[in-house]
Amino acid sequence: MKWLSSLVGAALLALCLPESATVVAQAAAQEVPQTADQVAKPPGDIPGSPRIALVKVADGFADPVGVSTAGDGSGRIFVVERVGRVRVVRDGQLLEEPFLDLTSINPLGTDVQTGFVEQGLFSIAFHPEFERNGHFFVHYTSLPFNGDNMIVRFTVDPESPDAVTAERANETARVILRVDQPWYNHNGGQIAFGPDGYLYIAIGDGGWEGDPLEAGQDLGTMLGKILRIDVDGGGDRPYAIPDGNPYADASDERLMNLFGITEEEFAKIKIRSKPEIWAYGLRNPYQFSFDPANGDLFIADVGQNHWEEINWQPARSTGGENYGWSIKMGTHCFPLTGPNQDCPEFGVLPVAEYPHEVPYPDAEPLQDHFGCSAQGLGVANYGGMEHLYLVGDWCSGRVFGVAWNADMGRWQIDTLTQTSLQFTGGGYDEDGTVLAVNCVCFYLTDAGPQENPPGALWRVMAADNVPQDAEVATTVQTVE
Amino acid sequence: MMGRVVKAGLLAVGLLVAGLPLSSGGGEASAQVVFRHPLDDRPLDVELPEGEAATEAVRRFHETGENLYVGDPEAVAEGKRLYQRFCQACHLPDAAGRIGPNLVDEAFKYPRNGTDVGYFETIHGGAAGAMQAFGNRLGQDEILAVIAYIHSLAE
Repeated sequence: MKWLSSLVGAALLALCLPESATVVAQAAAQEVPQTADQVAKPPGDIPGSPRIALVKVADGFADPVGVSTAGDGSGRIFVVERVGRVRVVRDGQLLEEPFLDLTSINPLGTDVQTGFVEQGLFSIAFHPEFERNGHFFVHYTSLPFNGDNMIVRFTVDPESPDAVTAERANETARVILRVDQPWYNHNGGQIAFGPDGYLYIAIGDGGWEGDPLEAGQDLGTMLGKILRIDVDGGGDRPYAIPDGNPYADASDERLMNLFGITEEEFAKIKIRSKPEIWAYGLRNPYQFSFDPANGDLFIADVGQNHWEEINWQPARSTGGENYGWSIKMGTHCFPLTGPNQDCPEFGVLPVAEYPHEVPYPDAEPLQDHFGCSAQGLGVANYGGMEHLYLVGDWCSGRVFGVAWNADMGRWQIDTLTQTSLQFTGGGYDEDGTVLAVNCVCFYLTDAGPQENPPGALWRVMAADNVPQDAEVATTVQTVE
Repeated sequence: MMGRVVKAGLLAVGLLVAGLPLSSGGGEASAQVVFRHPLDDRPLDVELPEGEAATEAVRRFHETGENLYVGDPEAVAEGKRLYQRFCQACHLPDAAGRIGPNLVDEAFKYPRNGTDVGYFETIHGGAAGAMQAFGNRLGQDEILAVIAYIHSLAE
């Protein structure tokens, strides 16, 4: 009877409120934009106008690209090095011995393909019950498998909590998933457990440019997707498909019946679809973040040539979002040919997008608020920030903030700071503080993940809370 | 180019041994250029690390900000080789810019980039994001050659 009382309550409320108040309440509800003009572009008006600073936690990492914690109360920060190692920072000190070293588990050499700067070890995720079962998962491009994506589970020896030996790694390794990779770019990236306890996996469209495989829109490939799997429910298999996945049953074999079937029922039959798919139409979703405060999901989808895209799913999402690639990039057509293209509505719009220096072919270069590669760091709920998604840019060193502005009833994106850092990824401390890592790497200048100048680990803080003796990232002094 | 680097390096060592301070060129050009980081103006450390030769070009540049390699065909050729390796992925072969800005127009991201000292500060000390401190990868003499090559592209 609970639903009935809710209905009565809603009816009473509607009777009491003037019509205009109801309309205002609806307009201010946090929603995915329905039209392109509702998608935020910088500059913008972030609630509270936060001022942030990046405070160095540790440095000396070989192309760090991700951060995680074990959630076991140890306070350890695990930094992912692209070369194939995971390093531990404990009480601000980088431990010499790696937590995991995939460069030494295979007697024939490293297990990680790092030949191109977009390849390597991407991410580590600790099982929600890590304290009990010792399981953690990594995502990397495999050298023995010619660059294919591997998701592998390992299990920590309780006697050696800070270091998994090569023997232990080989004894406990369980391959969860392998995904064929056609090319060496757009291979990443992040894996993380959602608030639902399922493992979310981001995989790019497989590379080249312009999505030549048309992977983004192809439900028959895991490329260009966010996947969601149940690593606990598989029995003898490495994982199960969560019942709620949007294509969980769409490819099941069945008898054909042509009559008496509704349009909706026909539309659910997609015999080539992969049941692991959670969301699609993505180009290179290298980093995504769950909001620790409410479970919402933000995805930073790296764009092509002109625009970077930030997607948002409320925690209540049932999946199946099509973010448009490669029909669209953000609100723009692909191919983007000019400033005023008549672009068809297609897929789920992002909440925000930011331009490259040249926002469309032959445009005048912008002076501010641009970047080239969106690396999501995390969602901040501290220091005056609320549900604020922080996105570091790999090229410009800017940190953008993306948030819903309830007063305006719109999403907003703004430049919060511009630093000297090449952001590659982020994550959270155990207390929910957003962490960031930077490499000193690039394309032609890439000397390899071990030979590049070292990168560092940073904590995102409210600028007013920075301790006096802290080392703060160099910033442009004139960001408006 | 390499031959000249070594030779000039030997010359610099010789001067040091003779007890002549490198910074005083007879009293007329004794002012040392203060190099500053393009983002926050903090002074940049341009002291040469051990093993990196103080070529005549570097020495003169530290003293006066004048880049002897501008218009020097040999240095420009070396600058081209380095530019193709380190710069053109972002700035394109003709320096018209893509991920990184246009280097051959009249617009400058950082005000001092209109001078060779400003160029040097940005290349050596790094600026924002991917414009990393190429002082980690290139010697100062090499940076001067790259700047000379960029000038040749602008002509």
